[in-house]
Amino acid sequence: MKFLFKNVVFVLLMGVMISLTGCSPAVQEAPVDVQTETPEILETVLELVKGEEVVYFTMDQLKSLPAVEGLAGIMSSTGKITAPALHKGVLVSTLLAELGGMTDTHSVEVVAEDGYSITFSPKQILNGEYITYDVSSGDEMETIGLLQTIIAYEREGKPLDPEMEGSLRLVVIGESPLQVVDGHWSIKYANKIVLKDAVEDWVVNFKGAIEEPMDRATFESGAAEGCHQYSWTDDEGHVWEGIPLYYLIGRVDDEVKHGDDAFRDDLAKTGYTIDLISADGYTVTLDSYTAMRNDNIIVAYLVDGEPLTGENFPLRLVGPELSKKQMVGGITSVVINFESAAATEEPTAQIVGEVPAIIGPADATLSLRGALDAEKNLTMDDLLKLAVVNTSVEHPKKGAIEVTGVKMSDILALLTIKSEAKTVSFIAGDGWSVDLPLADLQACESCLLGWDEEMLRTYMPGFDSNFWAKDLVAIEFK
Amino acid sequence: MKKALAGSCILVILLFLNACAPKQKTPLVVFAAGSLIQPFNDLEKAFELKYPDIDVQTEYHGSIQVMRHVTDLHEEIDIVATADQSLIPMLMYQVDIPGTTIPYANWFISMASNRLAIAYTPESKYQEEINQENWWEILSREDVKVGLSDPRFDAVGYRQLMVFALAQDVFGKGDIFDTFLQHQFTKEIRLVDMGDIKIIRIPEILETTGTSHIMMRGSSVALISLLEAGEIDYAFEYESVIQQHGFEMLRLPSALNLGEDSFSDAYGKVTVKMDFQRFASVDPVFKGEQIKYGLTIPSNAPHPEAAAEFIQFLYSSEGQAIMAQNAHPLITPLTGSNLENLPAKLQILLTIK
Repeated sequence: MKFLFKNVVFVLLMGVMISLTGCSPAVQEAPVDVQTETPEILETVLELVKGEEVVYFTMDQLKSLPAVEGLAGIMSSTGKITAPALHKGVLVSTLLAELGGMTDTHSVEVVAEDGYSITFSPKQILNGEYITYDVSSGDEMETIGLLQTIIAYEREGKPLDPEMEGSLRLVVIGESPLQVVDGHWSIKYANKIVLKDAVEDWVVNFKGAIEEPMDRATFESGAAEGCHQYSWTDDEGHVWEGIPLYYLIGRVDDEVKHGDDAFRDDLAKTGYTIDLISADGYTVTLDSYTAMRNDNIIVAYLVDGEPLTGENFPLRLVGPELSKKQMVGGITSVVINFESAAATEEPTAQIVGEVPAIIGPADATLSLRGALDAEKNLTMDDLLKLAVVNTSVEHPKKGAIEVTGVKMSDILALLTIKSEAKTVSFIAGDGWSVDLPLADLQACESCLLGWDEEMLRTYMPGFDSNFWAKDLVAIEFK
Repeated sequence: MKKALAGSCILVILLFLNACAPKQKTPLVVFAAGSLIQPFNDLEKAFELKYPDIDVQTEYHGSIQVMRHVTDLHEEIDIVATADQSLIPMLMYQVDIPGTTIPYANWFISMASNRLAIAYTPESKYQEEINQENWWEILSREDVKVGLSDPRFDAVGYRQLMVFALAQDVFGKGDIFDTFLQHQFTKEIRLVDMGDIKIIRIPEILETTGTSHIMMRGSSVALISLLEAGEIDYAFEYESVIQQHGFEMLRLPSALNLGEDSFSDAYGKVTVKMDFQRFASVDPVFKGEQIKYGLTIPSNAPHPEAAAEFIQFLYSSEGQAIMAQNAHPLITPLTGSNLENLPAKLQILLTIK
């Protein structure tokens, strides 16, 4: 009877416990179950990768390495704290020793089975430099003791649950139960560690009217998809990616680095040369006519998706219009030789500007727009840099008048006019405009874009007075 | 003896059934962005009072992480609320539930907006001097401690960098970004400013230098306690979060705060690119656009009815008042994507003025 009573009480107690457990409203994560040996455990659980080298670990092999234990807890990005628990595993630095060890120039990418990855610095892996937070308040605190980065396989003496978090989890362990680290440094389902050389930075000097040392990040940004990314596949099927040379030249051929008019067609038409110089001094020279707006001459920084190495590092000139000899690699500098253009010009073609007899309004601006490869705005300063002439022209009604200006032909030389353009409009500040055939303007040697003290004007000898525009603000090509 | 034992077993079963039957609640799993913690906690309490049979179980993460729980980790979630609505079509529309041809979502509601602003305290250095015109110059001073959230992990992190890039146009100064950030990190965050295209590059490792006046933390939430403790003078936060925590707030101009629809084109000039792939399913490129929170019920939600009731409650006068009290008003009338696909129970929301 006594035995029976005991049994009944025991069953009742069990029932109450079961009912209480069953009714618990909070959905708590189930305690981690002890995993018994399964066939999976004999399989690879971790890959260590360095370049082509890959080392595989089974769980047993991992457990045969020197183990460390410590307390690991996290604070999520929204402040939720998971209190420290005892974790056991292998130091990441111990694992990396299998790949020759980690130095200050390396970084470590930890990849998880679910696609997540994050990169750790040498300071984190080797020195345990992490920000720590108070486990109760979440406030930042001084780190207590040493922090270490490990690949954990046990928590509180039990294997990790492969379903819930994977067999391995990267955690940061410490000595104190009072501190936690940021949750993004705790990586469940970890299955790969990649030891990476720090990406080698480089600088290539571009020199023209201005000088620009261009670094890797700047070049890569320019080569981004949607920016100036071009590619070419060579005879062997290798895909070279980079930026057309003329875009890069456009950054240094004058002060304007970006935009449609960054590349100066007018300068290119003067026939300068471009030297591409490699680390060993080998130089390839191209003329500006060849490079001008040519998408088939590419300065490549990737081949088959990887940064260039060896003699090609960091940049190589490639493209279907180049001979193999011209495809110089290891480029360290690119130089525009404007002098070569000047040297080839006929002395008689050199126009020497005069001191303007009439000073125009300093704030005058002329817009050159319409069917042009690149529209331009010219200020009075820009105009004064051209060959200024002080001359006498014959007005159809007023007779001879003294004027100052620059030749229309010099203005047209600044532009690349699209072939469809047939007409030119002179447009005044009050909206007035007049059209004339482009061919007539191109044929007029004595036509001037001039100015008086107040405004820009056109001086059009041989044309009706209607074409002598006042207060000119734009010339449009149509 | 056997009879007594059998009787007691029956009693136990009855006890079990009796204890559980009336208390069983429908769990409603809500995954939301961290900046919604306060209003959604208030909503949870009010909703559970009105619907005692539903147990709202909220979990807060960074917006990308919220999405990842659905599409990468395949967890069954009833409601998703992200601080970046573009992630919903990018991820949930594009990814089918495993073993089906059904995408994780085919609609979302543009729930709310927000604006970026600068939080500070009465003790912050130069707080009497800072204004909408000079904030970038003050934040660049070496003796000013500025808290930044890590752009690799946090939407505020990459959005605050967008503000500096856009400021170069707004203030007509091409060196604002570099003046603030150059030499602050062991590997530089770089801006390539091509006028209408501005690309910010985030390196894989981001650590401040020993002399930096920037303190970077994994999330904007972690900056709040630093600001309260006087460890930093200024931090970028969402306006709603600043107001919820009672900080002083410097509003940014509309062209910079990423909260104004009419400035969407201007915001779109800037793109943040990570030099690495953090999530297999997320292209590490973030384009500037108006901040908009997206809300949807995943197609595999285990309790879609309860989820619809929660959203109905959110848009009730009580729910709207809770959001407004938390400085996070809802966008009304209802806008969003593919609203014709709204569950029948939510169609009535389309009549909200």
